Amino acid sequence: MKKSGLKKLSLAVAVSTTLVGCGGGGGGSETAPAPAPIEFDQSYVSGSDKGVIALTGSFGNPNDVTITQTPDIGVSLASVSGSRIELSIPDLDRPVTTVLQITVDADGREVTKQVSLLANNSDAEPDVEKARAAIEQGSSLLDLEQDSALYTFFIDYAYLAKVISHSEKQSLLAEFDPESEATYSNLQVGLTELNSVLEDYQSAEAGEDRLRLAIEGVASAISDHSVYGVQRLDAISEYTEILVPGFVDRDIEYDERLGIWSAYTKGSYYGDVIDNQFVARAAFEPIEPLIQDELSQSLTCEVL
Amino acid sequence: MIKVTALTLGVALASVATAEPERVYAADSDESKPSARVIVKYKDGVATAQGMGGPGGTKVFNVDDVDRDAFVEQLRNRPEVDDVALDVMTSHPPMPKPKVKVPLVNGASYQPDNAPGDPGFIEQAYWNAPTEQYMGVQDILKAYLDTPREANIRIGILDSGFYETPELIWSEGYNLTDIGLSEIGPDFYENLVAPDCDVPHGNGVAGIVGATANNGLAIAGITNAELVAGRVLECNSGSLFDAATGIRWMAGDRAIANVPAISAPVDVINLSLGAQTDCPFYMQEAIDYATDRGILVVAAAGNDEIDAERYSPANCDNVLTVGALNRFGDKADFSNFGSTVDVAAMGVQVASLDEAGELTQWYGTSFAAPIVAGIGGLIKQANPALTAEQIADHIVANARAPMSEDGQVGGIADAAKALSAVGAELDASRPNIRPALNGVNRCNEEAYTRNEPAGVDFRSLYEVDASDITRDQETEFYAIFKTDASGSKQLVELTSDAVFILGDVDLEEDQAWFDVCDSEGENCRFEQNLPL
Repeated sequence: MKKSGLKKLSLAVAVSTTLVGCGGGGGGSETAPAPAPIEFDQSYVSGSDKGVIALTGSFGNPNDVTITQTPDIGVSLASVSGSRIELSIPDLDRPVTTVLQITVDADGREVTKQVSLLANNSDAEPDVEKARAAIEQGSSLLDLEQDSALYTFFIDYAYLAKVISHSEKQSLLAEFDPESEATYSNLQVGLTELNSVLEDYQSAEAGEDRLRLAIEGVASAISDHSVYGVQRLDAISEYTEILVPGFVDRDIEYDERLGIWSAYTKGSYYGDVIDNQFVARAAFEPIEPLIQDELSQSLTCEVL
Repeated sequence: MIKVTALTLGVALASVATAEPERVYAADSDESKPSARVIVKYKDGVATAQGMGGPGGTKVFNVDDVDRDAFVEQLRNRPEVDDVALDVMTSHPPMPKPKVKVPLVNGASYQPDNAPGDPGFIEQAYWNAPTEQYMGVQDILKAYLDTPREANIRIGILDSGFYETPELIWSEGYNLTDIGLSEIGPDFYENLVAPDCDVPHGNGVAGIVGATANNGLAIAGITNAELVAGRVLECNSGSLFDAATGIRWMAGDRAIANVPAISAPVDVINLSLGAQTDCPFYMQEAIDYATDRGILVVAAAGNDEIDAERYSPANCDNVLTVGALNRFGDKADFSNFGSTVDVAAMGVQVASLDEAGELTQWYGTSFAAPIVAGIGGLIKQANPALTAEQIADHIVANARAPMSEDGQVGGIADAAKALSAVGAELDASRPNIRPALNGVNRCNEEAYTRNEPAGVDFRSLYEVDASDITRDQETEFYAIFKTDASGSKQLVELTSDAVFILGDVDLEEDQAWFDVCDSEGENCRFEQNLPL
């Protein structure tokens, strides 16, 4: 990928040097109108790599536009007109913020403007979303909150229906303890690492390859950890099967449609996602209200 | 001075069947001579054929008065004898003023809201809330109105001078004295056993505690308790030992010769009687027998203007002793006093009943005591789980400060304050109860409601949390009762779990009760009387 470094870019612009006089020629004693000031509309811009960003303003009739960048990420001048300067952002492997010094030479005047550019790595944006969701869902994933909510519901349902007593309920609830699993600490380590890598990536200290590697590590740890939740649900099948046919051993995966990690919305075994909402298959309708389908949704409430 | 009795012993000289050398007792009483009754308690394991069997394992001897002291001395020296005491002549505390019949006036317009509608209620000053002027009153009405009075309680009146009147509905009664013309038997109305007597003391005492309220007659009793009459005096005087026997009978002692057992023990016993003597062992043991069974024993302090320490049973342990005040809160002149007196109530111009059940003002600690006994009854109704000591503590601890330090009759009994304290305690005895689907504990409500089993409405369920209410893990269970259409209480839940789901009860519509009971839902701590 591209190397960073300071590079001076220049573009000789074919310039029409037509001067526009006020009141016609002759009469040399008349004062020429002052040239329009060179103005930039933006001081901060952002754009995706492999794309073009435009700076607007009034640039007179530039004879020359020079760009320097710190760090040099290979931004280049694509085109210039009196009111628009277009810059090409090269292919990047990470988001980079660079400071552009843009010098416009027009009408015998030279004006330099500093613009801060955030150049995003568009190829890795899905990875970033995935990583962010994993981190944001981190405690929920560690606690297997989705499975826990289902587990708690089925036990509590049996209690409400007077199939089990409160003490039996409490005893069964205590058996759902993902923190006691080795996979819990593995995932915890993975999430910590991912968080660190994501921060590095966002500060351009790590590239997309490292980010993806960290995500793969976390995905694997989530998958390993998710086995426990299914096991616990299987262990109370006498209560779950009152309402649903049973639960299959499916990995918790990232569902791009909803932007969450879930074993239930991904795929079509339990249902489908329609208009960004989980819609259960008929057999699983009883648990539809308990399936998380947005990141901010909490399934946890205090059941005494 | 011991009153001459008709008792005789059938054996002239007797011996005690022990390993001791045979000894000779004093002669039995000669019927023609004044005699004394001596109560003897032998040590455990001692069998004797001597004397008549008395309650509490005592033996009773009648001896000529002239032999009395020597007889007692001899017995005290016997190794097999645990205790000896003379029976003591007792009476109602002497009346400081004769009772006064009060004409009924139409006082309805002066009566507080929700007060009993009895025409003489306006005269029952002790029901009033205290004011700056009238500090001696007991604020009964507020307690009466605030107390759930569904629990059946029984209050025993040990007295004499009971007369039949529609104001007093006796659930049972018995004559426990054979002094004078009396014979032990079921006739306890004074006119049946002592026709010449004209002292309706028992009616005066009982009316304060339990005159039928809202019947258009005379006054309202403080409680709706079942009344039990124990006639232990002959007209106006009698024997302290008979009074002790009465206590035992009312407390459920089934081993009293010639007396059928009471159908159920009482909850409170009122003793408006006494004698100037130390507390004899037989009286103390009878009182302890009652208090051990949760029965509050209330006694009048006496009207001799002496230290009540000299007046029995007021001076016995485990008795709530009541002194008298006037309505202003000043100690009544006649009232006995001293540290033996636990609490005071109105004993001057106390509105109650006479032999005809008509409104009458009475004077004496005899009538202060039943006010306090009535408060004790209300407390027992509010919380049947309380022991006698706890009830007494509530009454004493919540009494208002006496008007002056030299009053020496204790604080001023305040029913409203006492019941308020009991209520606060009861609140702590109630479980927490909440709708099962309350949005906090089960936030995913839709998951529950869309999956309700047939015939079950989760929204109608409650979750009961009795975690703060301790129980005996082996023998006690949490129970919920519901009053059915017929008014009886049906057990709807019985569980060892401190937290449980309650169905079949609509707390908006049904009367429901919490309790801690045995495995059959019986023998409940609060007698199925703690409302949810």
